Amino acid sequence: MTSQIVIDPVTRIEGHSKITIHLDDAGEVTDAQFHVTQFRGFERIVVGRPVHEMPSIMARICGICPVSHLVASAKACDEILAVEPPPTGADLRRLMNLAQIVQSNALSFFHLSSPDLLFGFDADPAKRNIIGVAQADPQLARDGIGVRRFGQQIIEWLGGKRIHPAWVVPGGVDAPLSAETRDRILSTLPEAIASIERALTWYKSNLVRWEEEAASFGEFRSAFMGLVDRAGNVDHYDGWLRVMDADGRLLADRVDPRTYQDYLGEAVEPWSYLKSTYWKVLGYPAGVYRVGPLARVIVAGQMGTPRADIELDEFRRRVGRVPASSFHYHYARLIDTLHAAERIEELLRGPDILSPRVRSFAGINSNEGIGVSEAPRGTLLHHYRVDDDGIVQWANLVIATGHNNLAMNRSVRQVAQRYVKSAKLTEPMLNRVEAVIRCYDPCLSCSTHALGEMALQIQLVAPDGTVVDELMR
Amino acid sequence: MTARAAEGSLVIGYGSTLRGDDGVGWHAARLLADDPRLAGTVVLARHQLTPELALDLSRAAIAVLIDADPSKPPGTFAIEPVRRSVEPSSAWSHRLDPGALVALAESLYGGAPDVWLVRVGVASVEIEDGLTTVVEAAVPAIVEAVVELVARATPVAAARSTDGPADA
Repeated sequence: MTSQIVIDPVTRIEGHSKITIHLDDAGEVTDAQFHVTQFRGFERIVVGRPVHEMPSIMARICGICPVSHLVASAKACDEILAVEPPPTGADLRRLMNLAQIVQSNALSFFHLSSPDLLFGFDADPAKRNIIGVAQADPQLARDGIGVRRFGQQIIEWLGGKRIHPAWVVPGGVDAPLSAETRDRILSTLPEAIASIERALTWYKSNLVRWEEEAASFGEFRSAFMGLVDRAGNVDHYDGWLRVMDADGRLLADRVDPRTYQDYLGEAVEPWSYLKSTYWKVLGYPAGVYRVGPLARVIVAGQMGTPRADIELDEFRRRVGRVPASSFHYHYARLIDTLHAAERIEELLRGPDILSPRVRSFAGINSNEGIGVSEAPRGTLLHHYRVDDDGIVQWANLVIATGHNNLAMNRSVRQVAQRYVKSAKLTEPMLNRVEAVIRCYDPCLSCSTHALGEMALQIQLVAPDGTVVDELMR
Repeated sequence: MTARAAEGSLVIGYGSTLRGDDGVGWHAARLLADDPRLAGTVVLARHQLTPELALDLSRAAIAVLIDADPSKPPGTFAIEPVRRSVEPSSAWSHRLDPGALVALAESLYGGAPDVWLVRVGVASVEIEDGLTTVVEAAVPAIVEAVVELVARATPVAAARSTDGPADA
């Protein structure tokens, strides 16, 4: 008789989920599934609301990456108003989005994943946390705290608060940047960059220790997707979608994000609230692609900033042009963070960054808008339809964690098949199954949105495991 | 180990304002931030204790934390010293209990000040905006107790700018 192992809850991720691992009669893993067990329903909540409220409402989707939703939502609203923010308004949005990338990437790498990386995946779980890291490697812990504070403080200084700032609005931003705030941020930059570079040095010096995990943590061929700028370099705020296959060939380039529905399909499964996005040409579920820091450094020609470009060259020498393993999200995340810090400095030193012209005003000029940005976890799309009075009639959100859902499930299955043996189930085995999910840094609060009717499955299961009745809708 | 340079007083009220009385610490912090008797004290309102607060804690001469406590009778409160958490496993990865925050400050920044926790009994932590009547009525007394605690510990307030409440 087959059986299953349940890991519930999965820890050190954002949100609530569980994993089921299915075993055959011989005790071998036949399948594994990553279930997202929370439901949000923002697409429904916003129907009937005035469009100008959308950025503030959508920011409430998440307490970790609200700025990404603010930005994507405001950009969708820009289209409905048919306006472009003034250049300084756009730059200030970029600035806040980059600060968000920094603080969220720092949370993922330093607070959530560094305990596994520092102590090893077999270590005592009692010390695999930030207190354990602080005791074993205080500099690494201090760097993590410092980098996250750096990003959080920028958001707070710009928006007035760290979570759910309302500063990003349709048409631009709510207020210009003061010279005092600019100088304050600039004064904290050198230490932040030094901390990120120390972490990169530490990570690279330890790469060899994680060779086994790198070979089995989501090691498979897939496509990768991210935003690039006019020069083909990383862009976290705007630009075109680029999709690259496992051999480095471009599947699509200079794709206008507004046409996302021509390229991306969305599917739901009865066992998870997280919808799966797939590359339409390859169909479902074959159309697996990955987004986020790893995808960004793969699809881009260069990062576009000096220090990050040096690191990217080394990354490609060490792990290849299109590394197949999701374990390398960690490495890519640090490069992504370094780039974000450098771009923050570039923006702050721009000649017009203190301009008072930061917002365009207009009424409802279009009934539809699509906004895109790169969130910490990958490409984020907000798509709204409104009536002539600007009242929201329909909304669709395509969230980074949804893009990665197929890849995460495949990764969980791969790690389970490599490490889980029913005859001898150990905590390190289970930790690896969880850890492969952490590579993607999923944000489940952001990503559990319905496509059409909510999938629901109810099973009546007899004590011997037999399903005696089942209802689905 | 970084040398610790204590500067002034720190008050952190924390909790979710969207879960009824769970936000009592946050509400108290808002009042304390505007209280002229605490000029020079850093007052923060936060959703939870995070590792980043270890640096703030290490810089303070005294710290007062204000949190909801469902085990106490609604509207009552108690003040108790915070001890360093012995068990590292008490630390979740991006939110901490008070003892773990003290431990983190000591491990990373050379030490922590005397830290006091104001535990406030709550009536409801359901999804709602605002405090219940009984807990709201207790907030002025909580404010007075915190002011007195800070004044007793730091009779001469250090000259220092005050941060207003902020989400985090």
